[in-house]
Amino acid sequence: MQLFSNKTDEELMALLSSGHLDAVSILFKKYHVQLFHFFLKMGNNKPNSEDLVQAVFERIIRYRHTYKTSMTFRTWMYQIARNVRADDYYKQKPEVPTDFSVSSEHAIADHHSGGYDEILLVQMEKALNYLPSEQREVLLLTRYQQLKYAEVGAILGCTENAVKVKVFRALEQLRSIYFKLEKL
Amino acid sequence: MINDKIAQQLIDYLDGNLSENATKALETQLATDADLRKMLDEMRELQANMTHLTLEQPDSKEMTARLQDFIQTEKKNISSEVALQPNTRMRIKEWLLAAASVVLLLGFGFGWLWKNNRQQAVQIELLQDEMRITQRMMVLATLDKPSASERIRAVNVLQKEQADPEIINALVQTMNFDDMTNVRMKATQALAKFGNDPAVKTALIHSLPQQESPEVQIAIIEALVEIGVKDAVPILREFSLDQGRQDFVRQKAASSIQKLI
Amino acid sequence: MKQILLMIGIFVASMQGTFAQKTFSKAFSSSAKQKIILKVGKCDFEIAGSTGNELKVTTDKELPPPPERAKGLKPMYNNATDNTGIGLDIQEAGGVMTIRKATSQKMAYKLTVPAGADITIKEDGWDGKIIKIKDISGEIEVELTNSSIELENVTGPVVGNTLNGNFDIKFTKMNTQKPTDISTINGHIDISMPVDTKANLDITTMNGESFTDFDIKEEQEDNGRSNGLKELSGGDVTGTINGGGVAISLNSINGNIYLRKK
Repeated sequence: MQLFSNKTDEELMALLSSGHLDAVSILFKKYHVQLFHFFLKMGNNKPNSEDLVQAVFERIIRYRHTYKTSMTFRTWMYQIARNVRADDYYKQKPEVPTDFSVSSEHAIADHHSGGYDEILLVQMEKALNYLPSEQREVLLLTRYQQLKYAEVGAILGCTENAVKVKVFRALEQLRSIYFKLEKL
Repeated sequence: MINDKIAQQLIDYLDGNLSENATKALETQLATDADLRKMLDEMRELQANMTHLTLEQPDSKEMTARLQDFIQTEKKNISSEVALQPNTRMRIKEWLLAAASVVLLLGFGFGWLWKNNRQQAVQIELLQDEMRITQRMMVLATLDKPSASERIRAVNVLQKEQADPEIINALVQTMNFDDMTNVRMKATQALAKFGNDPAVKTALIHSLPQQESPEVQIAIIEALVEIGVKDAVPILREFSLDQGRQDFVRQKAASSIQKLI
Repeated sequence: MKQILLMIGIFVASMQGTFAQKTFSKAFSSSAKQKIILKVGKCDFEIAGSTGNELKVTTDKELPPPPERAKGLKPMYNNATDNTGIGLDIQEAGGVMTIRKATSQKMAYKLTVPAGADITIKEDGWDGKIIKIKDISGEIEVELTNSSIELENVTGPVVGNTLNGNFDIKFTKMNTQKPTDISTINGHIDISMPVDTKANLDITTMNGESFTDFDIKEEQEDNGRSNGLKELSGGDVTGTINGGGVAISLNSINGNIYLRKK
C-alpha cells in the first residue's frame, strides 16, 4: 500500500488503469460512505445502497481505461453513480420513494447523542424526501456531498450558473415544504 | 418569482461569494425587504440543518471484503486476458468449434449422453456471452489508443451496440476530450444514434459551447436537430447571434432553430 | 593564370553548393514501432518513405547568423531548442521521433523516413504552407490550420483535418481494416484510389458539392448526371463500393469533394 499513500484521486486512477488494481481500495475507503449516503438519501434502503456502492466501484475497476484526466475523479464517480442508479431503477421498477417512515425512524433512532433538536431534524428529513428527486439530488451533491458547482455542472450536463439556479429553486421548494410540514 | 439571474446572486450571497459591491447593494435592499430577509435566513438555516442530518452508517467491513473479492477475480481476469491476447477472438472461436464438434459427436454417436450434451450447450452459451463482454471491453479500451484511426473504428463499432450508460459515457468523453477533431465529430454522430437517452441530449447541449472546432460544433448542431432536442433552442439562438462565430456556424444554428420549433 | 582563377571559381561555387545544402540524420532506437511527430508551422515539408532505419532531414535554406548581441546565447522559439543546426528540435525516444520547429524563419525541409513509419503532423500558427508526403505505408494523422497537404503513394489509414487548406491524396492501395477520415472547412478534398477498393463511404458537404466516377451503391438515389464525374445528390452520400469494406469518411463544410478511380 506504500505505493498509494499521498496520491491524489487522479493519480490513483492512473495507477488503477495501468493495472494496479489495489489503488481502488484507497478510493473506496475515501468515498464509500459518502456514496452510500448519496444512494440512501436518493431513496434506496440500506442493503440496496450498499449494493449500489459496490456496483459503482466494480464499474470504476472495469472501465478504468475510459477515465480521462480532464475531469476530476469525483465528477466521474458521480456520473457513474447516477448511471448505476438509473440502471437499477429500470431493472427493479421499485416503489417510488413515497414512504419515508423507515428513514425517518432511523433519523430518530440514531440521533440520541446529537445536540440538535430532533423534531426539527426529522421534519427536515421528511421535507427533503418530499422534494422531487432532481432537486433532492442537486442539494445532496452541493450541500451534503459538498461538490463544487463546476463539478456538479459536469455531472448534470449544465453550466455552473445553471447549477446555482437549480440549488436556489430546490431551496425555495424545500423551504415551502418544510414550513408546510410545520403546520401539520 | 425570483428570476434566474437574481437566484444565482442569492446563492452566491448565501455562499459568501458575492462581490463586495453587490453584497452592499443586496444588504441595503434587505434592510427594507423583510420577506426577502426572512427567506434568506430560513434558507441558511435549512442548509445548516442538512449538514447535521444523521444518517445510517454502511457496513464498511463487509463492503470492503466484497470489493477485495472483486479485485482478486478481476486480477485473475487480467492475467488470463494477457495470456489470451492478441488472438482472444480467434482462440475462443477455435474453442467454440471444438466444443461444437464434441456436441455433435455426443449428439449423434452417444445418445445416452444427452445430459452431457445439454451441459456443453449451456457452456457454449456462457462462452459466447463472455466473448461478447470481452470484445466490448476491448473496444472501449481502444478509445484510449494513440491511433486516431483505431479510435474511429471503435466509435463505429460502439454506435451499432445497444444503448447503455457505459457506451454513452465513453462516447460523451470522446466527443468532449479526444485529441483529434475527426474523432470528436465521429463520436458526436454516434451519440445521435442514441438520442432516446436523456443523458445524450444534455451532454450534447453541454458540449456545444465548449467545442472549439467549428466542424464539431456543426456535428453537434446536426445531432441536436436529428434527435429533436427542443431544449437546445436557447443555446442555438445564442450561437446564431454570436458575431465571434463563423458565418456558416451561425447560419447552421439559425436554420436549425427553424427545424426544432 | 586564367585557368587557375577559373578553377578557384568552380571550387568556390561547389563549396557554396555543399554549404547551402545541410543534412541532419538520426537513427530510430527501435525498429518495431516507428513514429514521427511533427509540430510545425511556417515551413514547407516534403516527406518520403524509404528503406533504412533513420530519419534524414535536408534543407537548402541557410539560417541567418544570429546577431552579434546574441553571442553566447541560445536561440529560443516555442520552447524548442535547435539541436540540429538546421532550425529544428529533434528528440527520439523508444522509436518515436518528435520534430519541432526551433526558428521563426520560413523554412523548407526534405525528410526521408522509414516507409512503414506512422506520421503525425500538427500545425502551429496560421502561416499555411504545403506539406507533401509520399511512399508511406504507415498511419498518417494531420491536424492543420491553413496548410494544404498532398499525399502520394500511401495506403492509409489517413485521419486529418484542415481549416483552409486542401487535401489531395493518391492511394495506391487501401488499408482494409483501419478507417480513413478526412475533414476540411474551406478547402477541397480530392482523393484517388484503386478501382477495386472495397469500402463503406460516407461523404458529406454542407455548402460544397461532391463528384465521383465510382459506382456507389447508395442508400439514397443520385440524380444521375453522368458526364465523367457524377454529381452526388445533395452533396451527401452514404453507400458502398465493390461490396463494402473499410470505412472512408469525407466531410467538408464549404469545399468540394472529388473521389476518383486511379
